[in-house]
Order: sequence, then structure tokens, then C-alpha cells
Amino acid sequence: MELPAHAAFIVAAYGATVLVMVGLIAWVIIDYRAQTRVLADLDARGSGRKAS
Amino acid sequence: MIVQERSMALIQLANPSRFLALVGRVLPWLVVASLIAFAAGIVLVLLAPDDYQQGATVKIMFVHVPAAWLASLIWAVMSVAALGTLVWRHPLADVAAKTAAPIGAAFTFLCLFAGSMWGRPMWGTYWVWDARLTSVLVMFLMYLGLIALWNTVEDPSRAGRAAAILTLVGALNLPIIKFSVDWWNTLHQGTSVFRLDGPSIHPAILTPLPVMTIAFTLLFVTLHLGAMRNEILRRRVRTLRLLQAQGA
Amino acid sequence: MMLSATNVACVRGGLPIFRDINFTIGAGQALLVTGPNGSGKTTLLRMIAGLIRPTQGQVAFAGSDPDASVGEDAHYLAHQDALKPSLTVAENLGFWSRFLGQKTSPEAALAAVRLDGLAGLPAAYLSAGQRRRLSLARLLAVDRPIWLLDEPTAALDSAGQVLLAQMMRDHLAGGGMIVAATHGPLGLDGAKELRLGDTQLELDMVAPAPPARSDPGSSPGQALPPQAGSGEGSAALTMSSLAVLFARDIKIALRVGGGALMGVLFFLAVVTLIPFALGPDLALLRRVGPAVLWLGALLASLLALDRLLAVDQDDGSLDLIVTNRAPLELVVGTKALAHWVTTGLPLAVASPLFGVLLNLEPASIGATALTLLAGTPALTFIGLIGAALAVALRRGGILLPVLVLPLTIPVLIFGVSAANAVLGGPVSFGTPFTILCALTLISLVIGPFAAAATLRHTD
Repeated sequence: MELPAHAAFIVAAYGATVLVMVGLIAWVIIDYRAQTRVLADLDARGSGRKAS
Repeated sequence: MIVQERSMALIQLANPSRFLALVGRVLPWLVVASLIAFAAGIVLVLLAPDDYQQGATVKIMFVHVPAAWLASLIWAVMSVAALGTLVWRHPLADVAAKTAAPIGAAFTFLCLFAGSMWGRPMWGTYWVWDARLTSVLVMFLMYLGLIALWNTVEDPSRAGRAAAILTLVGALNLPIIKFSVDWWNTLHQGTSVFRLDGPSIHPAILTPLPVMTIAFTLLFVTLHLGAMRNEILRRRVRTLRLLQAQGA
Repeated sequence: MMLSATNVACVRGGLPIFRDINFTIGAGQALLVTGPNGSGKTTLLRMIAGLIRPTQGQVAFAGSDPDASVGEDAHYLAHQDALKPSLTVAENLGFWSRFLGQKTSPEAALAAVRLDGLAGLPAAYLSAGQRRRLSLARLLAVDRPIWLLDEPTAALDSAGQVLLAQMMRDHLAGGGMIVAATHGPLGLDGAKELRLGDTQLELDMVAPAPPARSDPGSSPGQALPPQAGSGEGSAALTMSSLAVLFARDIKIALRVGGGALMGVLFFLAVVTLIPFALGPDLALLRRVGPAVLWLGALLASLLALDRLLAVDQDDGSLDLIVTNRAPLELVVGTKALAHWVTTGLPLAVASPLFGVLLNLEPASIGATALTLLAGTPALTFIGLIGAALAVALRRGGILLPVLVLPLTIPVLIFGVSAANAVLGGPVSFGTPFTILCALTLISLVIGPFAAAATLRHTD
């Protein structure tokens, strides 16, 4: 397949899309893991939580 | 200071639990739906014909336009959330608002970047101050300001009220800004008309566009719900720490 | 060891506060300073700490390093807590412990004040009593013979007051000394009492006397005694204190409320505004681009300056930093460096992206970024002088940028000149760039010295 003209720009645009999407997904996943870890840690230390 | 909120802490723990359960059930389906939509979209993008003037670069439109759509949609979502905070005092409203902002900023940036990549082969320059790109740039600035506001005030509910007001003021201002920028652009233009989608685009090229737009929107909903869950967990941590400090 | 005051008098703002203050306390002894509000208790404590110079008389600590000031051997517990809300309990105490030269970790001190369970909690979450206890932990974490306590029982509950009383008794039993300003008894038996405010003073009763010590260039108006602290050991101590201060300032700037990237956001806003004013003519924007970038960076730098010293003054940290061993010039220089890393450097790094918005050519972008990298330190260090003035005058707001702006004009001129030179023209890049670098190097020296001198001439 012959490369379209200005292929670099198309690649850059779609590449940036992938990066942004991956970045956002990673942010959500990593934050989720961090928060659940801290919560487990606080629970283990018996923080006196009264509500379920 | 934070001390006064300790009595409210227990109330804040109870409410969002049902929401968390809901997100846990719905999220996997949303992920699947997004993947299917993107798969379909990519296939259609690859199959779409080139524009006879712009060549294959017109296909940048399939990320640029959905990103622009999301930028506006997310501000609308934040505005509804802002009303939820100020008018109905819904407990999840400022969670929705806070988590939407970074996602909106990311897609706004993507819109600008893709627009820049599209503009370079078309006009030979990475950036032009055309009406649409400039309006999106201003919106990007406003997104960043909103995120700065969320990150400057430690207390989530105080930040939430301030951010809600700023969001609504921004929503009212965005049409005004768009109008002003259009006017400014035509005033200074002179001869050439800067329009990213070119003088005319054959409709056959446009078929991937709705699919990609749906795919991006599904992705946003998925990300937003996941981020909302994280934020609720984060506030739970904060509440537990307040209780912990109370005990010592 | 003996802490003594001889014929100390104080006049502040033209008003006589007290005079004929004499006391001597030895190891294991305590002095309670009592008196009505406004009688000068806090002033006396600050005088002993070395933050204010007496109008008459002198305070001396016999038996210690003769080159050291009294403040270096004392803990000053003021009304403010000197705590950073975005740092955790452990981080706050750890910073002071390391900054003040203690090598052991402060965990034992935290446990002694019963805050060890909250070690990982950000200080913003603490109640007033808990904050006061954290300040007390500082006294336990770092060993100093003199304790200067300004109404130490304020905000403490009864358990806290029992803790404080025990701490004070232990300190005295170990040979330490305490001077405490208080309204009520502190549970210390056998403490001497100094009552202020019993006599009405008139201005002519207190006349400035010639300086008693042979300090070069000192005068009644000079606020702080010259910083001392000689010897090889103290050099290493100073470096580690500065390193700890640098790390803390960066940490605070990067956390919530720290404002690290706010300057870049403002920079972007300014760059966006210019085309709205000038029109989207790309050719015009390319010509003015370097100038626009420099103006944006300059304004962003100026606006961020109030973060440099004012916050530390407000929460009492500046007092503790100033009375410590490390020379004040190096301390403010370190703070300015940390400020540049979190404010000025990001501006230089972001400038290429904004240069694209202004349609600059790659050569222009590179030149502008390079000149900003070389010039933003000058902006910060010149701004340091303004920040010190604002602290001294207790004024903030727009006064600070107004004062500093004219001083930054040379930096602006040579920065823009160098950036523009890449596009051709009569001037080469090298000449203005070299001058720009020289200006930065000069500001790295003048800034801290002027700022330190300003801080010393205040009270």
C-alpha cells in the first residue's frame, strides 16, 4: 500500500488520540487501585467507621 | 476549617454506596460497548475514500470532530452537575462535576492537537487563529482554570460550590465567546476563509463520523463513571481520616 | 549556663514598651513573664529569641558557643504553629527536626505527644489543640537548652496541659531553662516571675544607648543580630538544613493549593489574549512572538511572587527559619531557587508550545526558550527582593509586582533582544545573551543579600 501524503500528520493525530485515551484509562485504573488500597489499609487499622 | 465537617462525615459515608454498586455492575458492559463501537469506527475510517483535495488527511476529521463534540458535551454535563450542586444539593453532583473536568480538558486538547495536525498540511502552519480553533482554545483555558480551582481548595464541598458557579458562568459565556471570536475572525480576515473542513466534503467520506462520535461518547461515559467511583472512594478516605483525627 | 538580660528596654513604633528589664536564670530554672495584654510579653520573648534587637541593654546566654546567637540555642514557641497544612504530621515534624539539625528521627517525640497514630494525616485535618501538640513535639524532637514559650497552654485541653507541665518539668530537670509568657500558673514550682506593665512609661524615659557589643555596623534600629555559626560542623549542618528546606518548598508547591503550575496557566492565558488584541495576522504574530512570550513569562513570574515569603511569615515558619543557624542569605536564596524550579522553569519549558501558537519558526522558538531559561532565574531572584519588602511592610497584593517590575526591565530588554536576534538584524545572539546571563548571575547574589538585609531590618 502506498503511503498517503502527509502520513506523518495523520499518524500523529491518531497517535495522540491513542495516547490520550490510554492516559485517561490508566488514570482511572491506577486511581481506583490506589484508593482501594488506602481504604483497605485504613480499615485494617480499625479507624472506627460506624456506617456500612 | 475542616473541623466543622466532622459531624457531617457519617452522613457523607452512607449515600453514594448504591451508586458504587451500580457502577460496578454497569461498567463492564460499557467497556464492551465502547470497544465494539471503536472497532466498527476504525474499520469504517480505513474504508472511507480520500478527499480529492485534501487526500487522506481529511481522515483526521474523524478524531478532531468527535473530540470537539465531546469538549462541548462535557461542559454541558458539568453545567447540569453544577445545577445539581447549587439548586438540588444532590450529593453526587459535585463528584460528577469534578471528575468530568480533566476528561473534558483532555479531549479539548486532543481536538486542538488534531486540528493542528490537520492544519499543517492544509495551510503550512501548525496553528491558525481561525474562529473554531480559537474558540476551542479559549474553552481549553477555561477547563484548565476549572481544574486549577478544584485543586486549590482542599475541602471538596467548598470547591464544589465555587466550581459550580464558575461552570455555569462559563456555560453562559461560551456562546458569547464563540460569537465574539467569529466576529473578530471575519474582521481581520481579509481574503482567505479558514475553515478546517474545507470548501466541500463529499458525503460518502462522512460515514465513519457518527460511529466514531458514538464510540468517543461511550468512552467518555465509561471513563466518567469510573472516575466518579474513584472520587467517591477518595472522599471516603478523607472522611475516615477525619474520624481518625477525631479519635486521637 | 546562664541566660541573662541586663537593663533591657524596648521602643517599637515610637512607643515605649518596657524598660529596666533585668533577670538571670540558670540551668533548671524557669521564668514566668506575666502582665496584662499589650504589656510586651511577646515582644520580650521575641527579643530573647533574637528576632528583635533591644533598644537598650542586652540579652546574653553565657556558657554556649560565643559566636552563636541566643536564638540558635532556643526553641521559640509562638502563637502561630509553623505548620504546613498540605504536609502530613510526620512530614511537618520531620522537616523541622532535620532543618534544626537533629539527626535522629522524630517518632519518639510524636509518640510522647500522642500524635503518632496521626502521623500520616495532613496537618490541615488537625484541631487547634492537636496543632499545638504538634508544635510541642518540635521541642521534644530537637534538643535545645532554652525554651521560649508564648502562652503555651492556649488551645490545649486539660490532658494537653498536663502533658505540657510534665514536659516542662522534665526539661528543667535535665538542666534546661524556660522563659514562658503566661496568664496563669503553669504548674511549675519555684519559678521566678517577671511582671510587665506595672509602670506607665513615657517616651523620654527610654533613650537609645550606644551599642554595648562591638558589632560592626550595628545600630538601635537594626533588628537582628548578625548571623553567626562558624566551624566545619556547622557548614555541613547548614547544607543539610538548606537541602531540607529546598525539598520541603518543592513538595508544598506541588501539592493541593501549592500553585506550582498556575503560572503556566496564566502564561497561556496571556499568550491567548494577544492575538485577540492584535488580530490573527500570522506574519505579525511571528514578529512579535518572542516579545509576547517574554511579557507573558514576566507577568506570570511576578504574580507568583507572593507565594515566596508571605506564607512562611503568616504561619510563623519564617521566625523559626530566621533564628536558626543557617545564614539568612542562603536561606532566602534556597527558597528562591525552589520557587524558580516550580514557577520559572515550567514557564521556560512551556514556551515552545506557546511559540507554536504564535506561529514562530523553530529557530525563534529555540532562542526564546533558551533566553527564558537563562532569564527567569533573574526574574525570581529580583522578585525575591520585592517579596522581602512585602514581608517587611506587611503589605501584599499588587504592590509587590509594581515594586519589582522596573527592576526587571533590563532582563526583559536583553532577553527579547537575544530572542529576536535569531531572525536576523544588526544584533547578534551572543551579545545580548551574554549580558542576560550576567544579569542573572548578578541577581543570584544581590537578590538574597538585599532580601536578607530587608528581613533583618524589620520586626
